[in-house]
Amino acid sequence: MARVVICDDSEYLRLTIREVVSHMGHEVVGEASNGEEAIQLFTQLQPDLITMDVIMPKMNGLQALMEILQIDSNARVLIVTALAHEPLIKRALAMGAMGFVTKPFTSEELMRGINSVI
Amino acid sequence: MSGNEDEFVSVLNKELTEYSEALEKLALNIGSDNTNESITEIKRILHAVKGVFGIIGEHYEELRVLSHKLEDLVEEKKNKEEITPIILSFSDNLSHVAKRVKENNMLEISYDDLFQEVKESLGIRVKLDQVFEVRVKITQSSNMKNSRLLTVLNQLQRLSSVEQTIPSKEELLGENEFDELYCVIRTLEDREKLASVLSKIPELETFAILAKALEVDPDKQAKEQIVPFAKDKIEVSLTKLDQIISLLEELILTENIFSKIDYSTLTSDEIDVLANYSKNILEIQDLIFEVRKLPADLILSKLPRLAYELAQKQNKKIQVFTRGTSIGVDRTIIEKLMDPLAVLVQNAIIHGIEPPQERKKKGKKEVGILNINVLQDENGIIIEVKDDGKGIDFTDLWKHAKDQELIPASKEFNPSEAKSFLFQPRFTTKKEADQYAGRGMGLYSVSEVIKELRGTVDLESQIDKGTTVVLRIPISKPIIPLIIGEINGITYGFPQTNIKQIKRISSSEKSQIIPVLNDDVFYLDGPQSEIPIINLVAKFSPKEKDSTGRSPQENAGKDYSILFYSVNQKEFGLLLNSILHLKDYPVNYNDPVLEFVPYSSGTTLLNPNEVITIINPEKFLVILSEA
Repeated sequence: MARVVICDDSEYLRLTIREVVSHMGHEVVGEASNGEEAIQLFTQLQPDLITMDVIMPKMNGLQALMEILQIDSNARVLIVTALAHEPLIKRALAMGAMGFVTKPFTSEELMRGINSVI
Repeated sequence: MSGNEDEFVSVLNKELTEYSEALEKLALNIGSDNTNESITEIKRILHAVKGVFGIIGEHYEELRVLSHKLEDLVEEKKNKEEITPIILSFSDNLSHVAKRVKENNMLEISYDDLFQEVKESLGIRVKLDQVFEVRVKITQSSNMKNSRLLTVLNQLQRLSSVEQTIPSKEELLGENEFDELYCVIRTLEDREKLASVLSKIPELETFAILAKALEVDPDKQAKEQIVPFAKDKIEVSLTKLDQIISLLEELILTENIFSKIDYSTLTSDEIDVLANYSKNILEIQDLIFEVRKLPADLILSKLPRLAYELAQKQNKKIQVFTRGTSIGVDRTIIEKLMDPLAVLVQNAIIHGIEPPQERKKKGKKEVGILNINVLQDENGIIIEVKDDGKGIDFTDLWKHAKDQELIPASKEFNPSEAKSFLFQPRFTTKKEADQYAGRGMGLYSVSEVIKELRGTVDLESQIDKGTTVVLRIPISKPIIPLIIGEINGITYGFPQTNIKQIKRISSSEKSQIIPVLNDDVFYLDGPQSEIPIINLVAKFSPKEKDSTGRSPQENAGKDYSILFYSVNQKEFGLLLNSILHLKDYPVNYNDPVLEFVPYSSGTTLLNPNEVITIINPEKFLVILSEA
């Protein structure tokens, strides 16, 4: 069982991801709606995995990713973002994100994405 | 390995030894370091060690892997204090490897017997890492083939060191789309683990993992360089240095033949040349002694480890601080000090530092502090060993002394006499001797060695505050060049250092002296008329206070010699009756006689039956400033 933090500005998507994560038998230990909160939760909770949206208010997912990897270079971050954002995904992967899942996703796709990084 | 193999061996030995020493020091620091700096530095050094083993070649592959694993272990351990013993053990074994490298063919040394403890702590049978070729193909339906290949690359990077990829990461980040990736990776993981990770990555159509034969990569070898020496330093073997020293000593001995020369037959210039010659030889000797010095760190660095291990066995907590590690101390002194310092550290931990619970009760920190400081002053070096333990109860010592019948039972307590018992052989307050203490030889043996070095041992102690032992060791200036001269029939030594010129006043010139002979200070006519000359013939005269009684005839027809000194940029001359010879003598600066002889700095044995006083020219500066 892994401890997961979900970061997405859409409450609906957070709910969806939470359902899938819980269904897989993992524990959602925190939810963030922007990059700042994600960093805060990451330091507080030290989760095994963060799912990270890219386009978010206040601080975007790439900045958050960068700071999280600075805190812990072994952090596992799964990028969850729209297909249209391929350049951003590449940048995230270049920075050290472990995997990605494109929106819209089926629960099967998300499960595979999570499984591939933990 | 082409080129000068000896050089490789010597550099490797030196480097591994340095790493081993640094690791030991850092490991002992972990407990007291809140910043994690020691841990970071340990990881850095392990990484460097790994690099070195990696570059020597396959024979050291197992050690490279071991260093790598250890690096990971240090990273993972939450309880930092658990790291200390493992790193200490690694450091020890590393120094063995360094030694073997030097003693045997470096590519054939065996190290199978080493690192057993480290391997055990790692909980693994050390296995070699393997090189694999990995090929993956992305399904055609994938919308983001490059990004998917990037995730493969990122996953592989977590498990291995990726040595080659086609296409490159940069290409994957670019515009051109790829659907295949080929990598060469080096990893400790087995094929199953790699397969299980790759199988979880979405959108992979196929993947293949093939073992690749190891080969030495010449490029990699060229990239990493062996650290060069500092440019203003070279390494000289100690044997060679000792040879130079003994040659010089022979030179000094032959130079003593000059002492047989009849100086009255020489001109002032010839005496000057001889004086200069022996002065130069002595300067070279000084320099050699400077070169013979080693940093105090050589002894200091061994003590924290000793303290740590003793404290572990005694269930005590201890932190050791050392200062003055860069102060240079003569090699012979360093060697002699090792045992006494070990005894003092042992005493501090066994008798001084209390167990943690006891310290807590007393309101002290649980961790005892041991300070070892090396200082230097004009007399020599000073070494302090200072603990913050329970101190010595001198009244209790007194009681023990009575029990052991060292003093009559009725004798009243005397603190300084009580202290002196500590330095007597076979005096102990422990009822039974054990492995570490109680034989009563500790401080006695320390004081014996220090006596041999002509030094002193002092001990201060306060109950519950701690004990400080101070060792003072004088700098040994074994020999100094002297001019042996005569004044009123008595022989004196004059240091040759700072002498500018030696002048003989012949009979023809006597007229100009005689009228002033009764004064303490006079001046010559001619080119040196500015320089005051102190008339030691008058000053050291047995009838000094009554010099008017001296008849001019006594001095008639006699020659005099003047030594021109320049001390602290002040020039002056000393008038003697005659110069007997020049020679180098060992000087004793501590002769109790000196207190009664004005203007002196030491004594020397002219021959087995004759002790002479050595004049200290600096002391005449006072007279000149008064005049």
